[in-house]
Amino acid sequence: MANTQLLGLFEEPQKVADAMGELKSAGFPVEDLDIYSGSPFPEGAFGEHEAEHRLFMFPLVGALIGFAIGLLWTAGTQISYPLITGGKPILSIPPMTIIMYENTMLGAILFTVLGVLFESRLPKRDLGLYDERITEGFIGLYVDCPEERASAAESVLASNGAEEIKKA
Amino acid sequence: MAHEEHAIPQVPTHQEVASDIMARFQDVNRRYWSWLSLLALLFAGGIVGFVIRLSDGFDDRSNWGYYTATLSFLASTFLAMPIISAGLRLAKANWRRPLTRLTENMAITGVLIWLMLIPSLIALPATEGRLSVWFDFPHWMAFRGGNLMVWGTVVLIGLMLLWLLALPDLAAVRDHMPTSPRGKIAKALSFGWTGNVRQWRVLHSGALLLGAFYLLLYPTLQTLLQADFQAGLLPGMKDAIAPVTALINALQGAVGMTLVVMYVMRRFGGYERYFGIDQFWALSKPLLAFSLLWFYFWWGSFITFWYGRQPGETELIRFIVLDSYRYPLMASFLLNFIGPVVALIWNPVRRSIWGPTIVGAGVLVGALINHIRWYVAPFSVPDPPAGESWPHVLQQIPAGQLPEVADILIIIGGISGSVLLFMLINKIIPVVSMWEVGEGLRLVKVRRFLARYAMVIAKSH
Amino acid sequence: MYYRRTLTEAQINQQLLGTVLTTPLWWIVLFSILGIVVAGTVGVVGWMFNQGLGVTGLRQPVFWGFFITNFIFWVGISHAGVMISAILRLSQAEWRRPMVRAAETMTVFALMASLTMPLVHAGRPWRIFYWVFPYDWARGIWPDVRSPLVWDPIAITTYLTSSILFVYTALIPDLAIIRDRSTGWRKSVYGVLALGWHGNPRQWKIQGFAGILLSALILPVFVSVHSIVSWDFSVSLVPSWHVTIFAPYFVIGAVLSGVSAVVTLMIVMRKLYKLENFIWEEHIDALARLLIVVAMAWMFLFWLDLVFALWLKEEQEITVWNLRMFEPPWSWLFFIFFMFSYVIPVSLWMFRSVRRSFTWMLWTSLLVNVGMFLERFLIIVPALMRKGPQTFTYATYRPSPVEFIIIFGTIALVCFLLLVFSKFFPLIPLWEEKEGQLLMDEVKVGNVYVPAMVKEH
Repeated sequence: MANTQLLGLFEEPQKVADAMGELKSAGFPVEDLDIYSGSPFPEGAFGEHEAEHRLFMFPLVGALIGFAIGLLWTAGTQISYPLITGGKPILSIPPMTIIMYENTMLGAILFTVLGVLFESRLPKRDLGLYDERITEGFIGLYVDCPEERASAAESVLASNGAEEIKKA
Repeated sequence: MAHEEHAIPQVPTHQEVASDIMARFQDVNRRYWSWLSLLALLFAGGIVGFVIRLSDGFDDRSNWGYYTATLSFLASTFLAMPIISAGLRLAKANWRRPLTRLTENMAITGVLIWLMLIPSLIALPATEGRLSVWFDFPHWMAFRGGNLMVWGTVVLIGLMLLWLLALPDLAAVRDHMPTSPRGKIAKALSFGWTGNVRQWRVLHSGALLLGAFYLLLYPTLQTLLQADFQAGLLPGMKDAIAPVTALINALQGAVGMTLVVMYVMRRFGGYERYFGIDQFWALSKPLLAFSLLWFYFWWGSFITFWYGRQPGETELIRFIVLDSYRYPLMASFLLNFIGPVVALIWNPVRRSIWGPTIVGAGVLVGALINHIRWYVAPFSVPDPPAGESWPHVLQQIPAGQLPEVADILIIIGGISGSVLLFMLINKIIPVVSMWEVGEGLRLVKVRRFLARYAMVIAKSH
Repeated sequence: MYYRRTLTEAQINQQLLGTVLTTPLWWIVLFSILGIVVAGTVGVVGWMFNQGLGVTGLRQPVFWGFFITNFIFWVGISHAGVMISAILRLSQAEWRRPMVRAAETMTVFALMASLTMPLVHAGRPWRIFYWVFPYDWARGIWPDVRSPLVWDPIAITTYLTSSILFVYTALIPDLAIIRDRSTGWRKSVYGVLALGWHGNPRQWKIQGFAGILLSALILPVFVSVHSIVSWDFSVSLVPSWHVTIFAPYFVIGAVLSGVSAVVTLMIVMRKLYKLENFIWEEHIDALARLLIVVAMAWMFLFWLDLVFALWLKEEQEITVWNLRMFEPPWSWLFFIFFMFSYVIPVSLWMFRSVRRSFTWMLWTSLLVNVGMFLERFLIIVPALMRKGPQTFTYATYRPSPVEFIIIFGTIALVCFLLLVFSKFFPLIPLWEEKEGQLLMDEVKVGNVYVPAMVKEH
């Protein structure tokens, strides 16, 4: 059976927390509830599902790739044209270190940004059920539930003071 | 309700904390005496080592290399610790409160360190015919007078900072133990402190001011250490970055030592609630930063010398980097840079008691080895033949010098003597500041925040 | 930090998106003036390319003059962004909020301005591409990684890329705010740029971690960039350049000039964009305190540089320092540099009333940067002017009007780019301001209410 999506718009954060608590008590799985807000609240402020992520792995992978590229580039160019300059050895490790370092950091940063996008589940083509007032202070409580439970969810949202309830 | 998922943070009262700290302070048990006796024994061993060195005389400077390395190690760990207190107070970090006294109490080791400075100064050669940052100042006024004055001032400011910030707690000891000898000492030292508004204001401003003086003067001490005891003895050593390198290493050492001492106080002193995860976690971040900077400053020197390739530079690199002192450098590289960075980039390691402690202990071992490289090497360079000026290039590269029994006794004795002084002062001034922790507790409240509880922390001043 | 006003999210949107959603007359006027100056500068650069570098004051043996000074100056200014943003983010300093975006943006544009300088300085910039590409592919000759001149573009490109990504990542939530407030094609463009941001807890959590992670990653890059610039000098054997302390000395000097530039920018922004509700005396005061510490650290390094330069008593080293400090006109410039970048501002910043005065802080921060430009100039030019074994004259360097115009042109360029940026994106991060207000609280101690912040445990 198809699911129904609901978005309750609230002005008061406390009401969102109360509605969230009531929905969870009513048996709505916390993974199917989401909060949309225009600014970050402390984690768990609404009693929401706490997201797991592996963002920290991304810079490590990026750093390794960057380091490898740096190593190949610096070692490769020196070996492919073995000209002694300034009395330094053909494979001069100190200058290689500097370039490899920069490449390592660049790789780490590029991959971190990729990780941010991936872990934020961005980009998204379609905003779906959303309201522009969210970026003006309203808080959206999003419910994804089976069709037959939609009216129960709607009544929880309404009884906790939702200014408007959108459905999809 | 959702807030059940988040535990309610517990904040103890000031009275609770004060009576707990006082109880621990009053307790002088057998374990304390055993440790004290052991340290006294080791310190006595150090004095024996020192007497052996004295009997050898000062003509052969290489005898005093390990002694000077010990001196600089102590000055770059114990004596650097008040910087943590001063810096964190200036930055208004709230988590500092339980650990500031511990670092301030370490200022007492300055007395031993200052006394240890004197033989090292005697071992230095005359300025005539060689380069020195004192240029043409008369020898006695420059090296000896200058160093004794700067080091003495640093020690004095450290002790004044300790005394000023301990006044309220000394008054508490005075009032709690009026008849005991410790109470009487506290009474004399507390200068009749009553804790009126005026006194508190002066204490706060004075602590900031003395802390700022300490921060400003300590780099001068490190500059003199590097200039007079290292660069001045190494022909061709033109390394302006060295004092800053030494300063950064000292800060790394100070953080490492604070972590280790905090762990010991937790494990053996029952101070778990004061030296908690917040303190270890917070200190692990500057430790990581200083470990990265360890490499940065070393590299700054190395790359310049390596590219310069002038005779003075290549010989120096061979001496203290590639040949004679290669293994000490590699050990320090591992313990002060690679190890800490690899371990501390992980938040679970940083946010633990064991992680920062192990890294801190490694950092201290690495620092000791690095100080040996820094000071034993220059002390092993022989004087030029009589009547000749000091050359600008190292004439021959001395071999790496291993410690003798006397040196090992001095290293162990110096460290033990410092810890001994710290343990003694801890029974005169409580190792956790009752008033500073209490002040912090007044600024923290637990509030309900939507579906959870949160700490609300106020910034004083 | 003392939060005095509480604004609703709608009010924050309205006040900070003023120039994004509407176009005030002053913006058009300023845009036109700066645009004309930039266009004029481009014309002058074109003329110089046509005539050759002979129209500048560069003569043997001084081949590094105003352009390279300006290159270092702008790399220095670019250090402000990361200094403010990353360090304050990592230390969770509350007062960072209104200044991070502007500082980061200035980093990007200052770096772009700095990158133009080596190209202008080359005189025949198209030849750079000719040197790099056809030779490589045709004959297998690669850029020599042992040359510090190869390190510079790599470091600066890394820093520029990182800074742009840093700015963009923190901009995504604000782009969603603009998306929701705009219409027509603008809505589509901002919609694409906002990547479909909803603002759910997962996205906010990642955004928070990203700020910390990117700050931690970009900090080592920031330190490396100016260090690498300094190694252009110190790995050579030129007297007074071949010193080990240049890397930290350059970095701290860059932070001093960069943070001063942030102060200037904040004060100008406050006036132009009417940001009185966001930029307060407390912010400028906090920056001034930071500047005192940075300036003192910088002076310590300067002093070490001087002492260790002289202590070997090498004749050439002493000659250069003598030239810098005691021979007019260099001595005059040295005096101005020393007074402007250290003595006058640091003495004044000791007074609370100065630190909290926008007028005083504007002028002192400008003084610092005039001084810091001279500092870079004095590092470069007198060192090259000395009479070395291969040099036959003491030929002096006098910058020509062309060089002056190009220098002022780069200042106009950075201002112009910042102005254009502010038309499309907010200079103060809206979501960070909102978060700050949300976490703001008070604790009652006795009879007084002490400002406090909610901390996650």
